[in-house]
Amino acid sequence: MTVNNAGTISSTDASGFGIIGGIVTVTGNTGSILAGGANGIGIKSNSNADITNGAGGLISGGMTGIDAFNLVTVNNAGTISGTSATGFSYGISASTVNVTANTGTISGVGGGVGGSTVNVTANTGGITGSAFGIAAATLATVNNAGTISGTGADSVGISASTGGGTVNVTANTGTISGGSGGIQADTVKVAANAKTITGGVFGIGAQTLATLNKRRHHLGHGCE
Amino acid sequence: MPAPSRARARGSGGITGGTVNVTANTGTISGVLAGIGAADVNVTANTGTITGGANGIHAATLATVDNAGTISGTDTGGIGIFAGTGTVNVTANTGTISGVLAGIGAADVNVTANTAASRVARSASALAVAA
Repeated sequence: MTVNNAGTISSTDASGFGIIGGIVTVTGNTGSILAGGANGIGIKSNSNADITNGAGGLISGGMTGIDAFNLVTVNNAGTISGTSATGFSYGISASTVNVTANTGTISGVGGGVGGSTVNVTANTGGITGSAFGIAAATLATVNNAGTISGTGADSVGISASTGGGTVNVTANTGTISGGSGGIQADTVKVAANAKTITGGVFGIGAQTLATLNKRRHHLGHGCE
Repeated sequence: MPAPSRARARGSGGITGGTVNVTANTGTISGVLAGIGAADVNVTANTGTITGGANGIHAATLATVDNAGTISGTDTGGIGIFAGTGTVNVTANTGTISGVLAGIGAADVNVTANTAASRVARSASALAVAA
């Protein structure tokens, strides 16, 4: 399925899709692809998807903006969002997510981008979520010149599984932040940070919050 | 919807290990509690700022640091680099490592190249606190 859209493609069903197919290619979108139901998905691929969302384009779903079973490659200059507050919504979700360029906004009420493997090779825009900016079960590789943030009180900017996951920040000239932590994983590699990595508890963490808090209390911050 | 189960990697939990490698920092890494916290922390080229309220760097086991910038723990009781019963190796310091309580605190502290112009603020009580 190949789509080039400048109008509106939408579903209103609670579990509907703006577009659903096997291999889905969107060569350009300057209009709206919407699935506004609480469990809706703007673009759903049961295989791989390659999505180009132009400036002014909107891809949005209650549950997920774009969801692919295997691989999704995204070049975004517009807005991609998961909007439902009743579930854990993502802007983009797939087993492997490659964001080759983002100058726009990718957001979810839960997470901006989620997958087993997430690669963000050029972000000058915003990737945000209330729990995570980016969440990867296994590996997140990020080159950031924009903003990647978790906006909630217990949120993390970039997270990989603390049970063996890795976050590689190849370059950061922007801001990576979270209400709890900027980056958290079992292994964190920061090759070049030239600006800001910050969190409400830790900037970069690969350790339990409880351990840090125990140390804080031991040092006379209130408990012992 | 696969992502919620695939990507369940929250900030609150349950690990006791982990490694953080920072190979170049010219910016700021900060946290209200700690700038960097992990079992093992390696900072090989810091010309920027790593700071936290309790600790700039908190390592449960080993912290290895080459510093030309600023590493600090800013709260009352704060320690710049802390490793508890573990080890802190400062392989080079031409910058500032500081804390309100101590610059460095650990059971085993090795500073192999601290230039006269630089400053490691370490109180006499640091090791006692760490132990």
